[in-house]
Amino acid sequence: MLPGDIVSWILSGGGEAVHSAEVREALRQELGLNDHLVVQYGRWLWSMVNGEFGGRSLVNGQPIAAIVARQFPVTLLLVTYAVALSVIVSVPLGVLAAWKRNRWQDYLVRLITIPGQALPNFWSALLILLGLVIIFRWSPPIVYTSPWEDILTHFQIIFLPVLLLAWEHSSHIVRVTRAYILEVIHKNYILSARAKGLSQRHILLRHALRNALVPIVTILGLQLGWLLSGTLILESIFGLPGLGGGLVQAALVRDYTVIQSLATLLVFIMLSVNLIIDLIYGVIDPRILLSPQLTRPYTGS
Amino acid sequence: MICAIIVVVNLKNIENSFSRTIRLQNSLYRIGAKLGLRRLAKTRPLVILFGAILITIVFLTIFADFVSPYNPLVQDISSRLESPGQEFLFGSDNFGRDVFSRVIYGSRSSLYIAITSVIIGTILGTIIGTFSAYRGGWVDQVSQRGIDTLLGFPSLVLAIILVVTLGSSTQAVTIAIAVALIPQVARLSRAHALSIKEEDFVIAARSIGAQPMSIIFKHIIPHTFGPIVAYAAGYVSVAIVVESALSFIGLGVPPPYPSWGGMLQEGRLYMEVAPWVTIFPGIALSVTAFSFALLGDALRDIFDPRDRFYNGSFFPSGNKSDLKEM
Amino acid sequence: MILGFSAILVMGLILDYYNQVPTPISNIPDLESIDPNNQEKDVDISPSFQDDQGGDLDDPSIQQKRGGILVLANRGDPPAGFDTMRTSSIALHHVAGALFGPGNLVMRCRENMYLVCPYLARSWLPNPSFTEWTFTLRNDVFWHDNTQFTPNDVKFWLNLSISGLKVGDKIRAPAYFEGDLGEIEKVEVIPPVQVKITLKNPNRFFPDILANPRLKIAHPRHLMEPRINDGDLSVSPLDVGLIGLGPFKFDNYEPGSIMQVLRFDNYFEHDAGGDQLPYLDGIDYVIISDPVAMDIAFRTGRLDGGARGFGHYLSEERVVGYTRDLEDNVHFSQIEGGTIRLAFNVLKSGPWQDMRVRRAIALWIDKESAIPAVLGGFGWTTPDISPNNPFKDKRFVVWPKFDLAPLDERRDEAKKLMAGAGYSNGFSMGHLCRARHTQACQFLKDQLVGLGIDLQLHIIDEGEWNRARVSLDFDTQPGALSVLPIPEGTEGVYGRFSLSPDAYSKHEDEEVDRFYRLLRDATTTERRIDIWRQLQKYLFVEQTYIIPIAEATYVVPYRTYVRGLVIPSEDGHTNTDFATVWLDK
Repeated sequence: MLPGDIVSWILSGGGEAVHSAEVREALRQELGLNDHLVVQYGRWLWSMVNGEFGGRSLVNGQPIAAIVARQFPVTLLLVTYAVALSVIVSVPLGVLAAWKRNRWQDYLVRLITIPGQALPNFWSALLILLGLVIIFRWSPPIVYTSPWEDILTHFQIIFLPVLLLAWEHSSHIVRVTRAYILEVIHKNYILSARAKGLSQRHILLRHALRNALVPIVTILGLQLGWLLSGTLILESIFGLPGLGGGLVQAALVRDYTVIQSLATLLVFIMLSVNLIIDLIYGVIDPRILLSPQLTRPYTGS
Repeated sequence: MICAIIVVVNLKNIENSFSRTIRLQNSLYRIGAKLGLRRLAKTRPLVILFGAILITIVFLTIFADFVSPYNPLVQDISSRLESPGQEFLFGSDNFGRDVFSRVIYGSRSSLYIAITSVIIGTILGTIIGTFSAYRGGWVDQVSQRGIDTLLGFPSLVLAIILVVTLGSSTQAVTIAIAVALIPQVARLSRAHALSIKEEDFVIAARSIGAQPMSIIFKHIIPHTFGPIVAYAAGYVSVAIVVESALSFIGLGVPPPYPSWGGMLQEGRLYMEVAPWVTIFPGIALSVTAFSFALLGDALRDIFDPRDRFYNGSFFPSGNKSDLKEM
Repeated sequence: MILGFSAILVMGLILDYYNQVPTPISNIPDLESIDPNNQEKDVDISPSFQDDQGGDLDDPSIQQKRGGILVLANRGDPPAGFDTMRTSSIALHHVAGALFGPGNLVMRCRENMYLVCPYLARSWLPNPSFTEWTFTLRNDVFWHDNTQFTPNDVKFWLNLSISGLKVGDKIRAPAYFEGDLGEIEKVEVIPPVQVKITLKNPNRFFPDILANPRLKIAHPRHLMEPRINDGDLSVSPLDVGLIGLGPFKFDNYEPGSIMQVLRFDNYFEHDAGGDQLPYLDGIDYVIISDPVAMDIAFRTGRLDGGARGFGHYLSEERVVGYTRDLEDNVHFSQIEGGTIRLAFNVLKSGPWQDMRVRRAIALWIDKESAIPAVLGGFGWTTPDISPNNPFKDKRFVVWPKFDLAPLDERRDEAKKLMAGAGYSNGFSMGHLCRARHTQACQFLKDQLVGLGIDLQLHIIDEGEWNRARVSLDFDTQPGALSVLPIPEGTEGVYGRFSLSPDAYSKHEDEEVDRFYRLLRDATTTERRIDIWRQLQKYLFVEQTYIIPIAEATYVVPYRTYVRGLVIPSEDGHTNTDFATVWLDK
């Protein structure tokens, strides 16, 4: 699939080693890299089916199931925090922007959130880290601890990447929230609510926001891919042993079995998350379940 | 801005060939009205500000040969890491190259990659998405599952795997980002095409026996193109950031040719003693990406106020049940 | 009784003889004293214990030295299941010294890495023709599971290294250093504590080869053999729980995050005062792949020492931040490192097949500029092999007219040579460039513009790099930042190895073969040095197959309270056991 040679990389580890062609050839054979690609792929496929989850890493011989078991929770926590934080912060901001449309509050909200999408997160990460060192002589801890071991250290190390990811994520949520609140405000039921003399605030929160939940939840699913992209580099800068960093590393050294297994896992996760989101629609918007005609009320409208 | 120009040019071409289509006239009228600068200045001052910045950047990019005081590649080790001043406006880098000139030339690589990849990604994504929506049935199912799978890959991962496969070059980076965008655009254009597909004029065209390809290209795509271009402008900002991320991993534009991402990557080891080596390309990159994001936002508000893309669930069924709400 | 006594006596005599063979560093005339015109940067290398700097007058008692956890950065996860037979990666060897010890039967001496010291073997004895080497093992060496270390372990390890395994259609590849040990014909156990190694050809420097710090015994026979018999031929040290022989035993490993080792109470080495090593309670290796992240963590006091590995070694610019935050609480250890080069593929047709062209390029390059631009300010221009190395030709910068003339004159000469070769209008030439360090390539590209040469950089990432550089497709390549402290070690990269994947320069010059043969047959160090000089002159000047441009100085930060460090004078793979380190705080 990919050019490049993992065998030489193993032997020299990115450094330098003098080794003979025979050693290289023998190692290729040991790792099964001399077999036909179809055979290699078949072997990998079989290992996915028989519960080994892709067999072993070519670089370090570790079972991929163990690698995933270790890396997955880290990324899961990182992404969960980021999503939670961005929803908590940006939905109100989006409502505010819609409410004060084209006034300074609206511009301020957008000026703050859009750079999250426009700044390369590795650069902002390094700037923040350097700033912390220069001003406070402080840096986050360097050894990842799970929240069950030491919750304080856990938050110290994971706080900055979460903040950066949430910033990036927020720009999308704010925009969608704002757009939908604006849209919904002109709907009949809102107009009638207003006619009934309900306060602006009540209308925004009870009716408009409730209706805007569907697109907000949708964008959470759709933006998950970008969110995961964001973890790739941040994980390596902040020393988080997660999936993203693992996948980049595997791609760079052509650890095929790991790439294939992790990629399959990610696709599976993305599909499941979006399936769950489809189910959530039913909860936040009962019309979806009530009427067969309206099974997908927002589809392609 | 470039994208806006492309929209107008495209729509003009389309106008020539399909001037009878009422919908198109409507949408052209909408652009004309909404792009009216006076009105825009009132309703969207930010767009005007960052539009002006974008035009400046594009201008500098095109006339880099005249604007930049130095050759961006020529090294002078004796004057390395000099701070900004008379001799070097933005200072000099590790090899004594002029940072100002490199930022200006860097915009060439960065904008070239971002815009080209978005154009490629948008065109291919639109064709795939529209075709899939039009044909429906198993074609739609198969292509949608393929797109689901591609969407499952975080875009950066897909780009990394592609660059690693193709080898590091400007073309490879462009293709990688384009491919990473295809599934996003395909899903978007499919959602739009699904709604257009059942419109009367499409049904009419079908009933007089027009070829499917002709219907797709003459009737459906022109109607979905506006909103898609609005998203494309936003994707340019994404592409700029993805390029810089690839550079950070060492898979970006091959040195010594400057790109903003590459300059950030190279300069980060000097961030403290020579912050200017990263600050200026960083600012250029962020402002450009920001402007494109804002432009995308504005265009989206114009073409697609309801943010249609995010309107569809992840597994759209093609049900047109609430079209009437439009 | 008498027989045994005389055997020991003979052994001792031969050991004495042997120990005289590699010339101690002090016997080599000083660089400066010979070369008044030396323009090199004054490299202040502290060859031995860091304590030498602070003065070792008040050596504290053992109670004061004992205890504490040392926190070091490591540049990545150790690859290949910690298998020292598989990889020379510094990401493994920075950790492996503590786990598996600084050597095998022998090691590079801590006080002088150009000498060979006993490690797991108490003594050794060659036969008169230097084809059989008998090593007598210590009897107080234990694996970390407290199993006695025996000659059978040595035999198992050597056999596994040299020939790997083959059972049915399953195979285990031999060790990557198999080529270095390839002269071994057989390994025999002489009970109770001896191992006899028979070589195919005489080699009086066999322990020199064995003392390569990369050859660590990480393979406990009593744990691995059962696994192999069960069909798991690829069993790695990680698979058997990282049971080693070194001063520290494995405690915990969180991939991508941290690797922890603890003091091994049954370790055999003792310090000069008779106290058991190591002093530390343990070492935490924190995996930090980003150099800037490492700098930041170090400066805020989260690390006691930096990582080894190119990219993590400090530059002048990064040192600024360290000294500002930590003032004199940080010490910068310097290790002589690898060379950046321009090596030609003479087997591929192109203008570089003309010796005059290669020579012109060598004369043209402004090597001094490479030090700040490429090596972060720490380095010196040199032909090869570091100044502290006894095999380094101290007069090289003068003697072969390597770099002596002012740049302008050299460049005039280069222009003439190019014109003479018919390339006054220049030409285009490819150059492999590692995506990980593009600075050298960018530097070279700009340098050669003036000579009319358009250097086309082919940027390749880590996965592709090793494949591309071993092909015969490239025009030129940078070689790699390898450290090859003994002249014989360079044959793999400089020799006539047109078919060897690792040769930097591809050429078919049998004259080079002859030199290496002479080198192998040499009986005295003086002779080796002499041949090595001739060889260098032939390779770098007369034929210019390889242009050595500048040599790096690797700079590793340690907090000043980290005492007793043994910083190797060259080769960052050496002395990674940290057995003599203690914390003064």
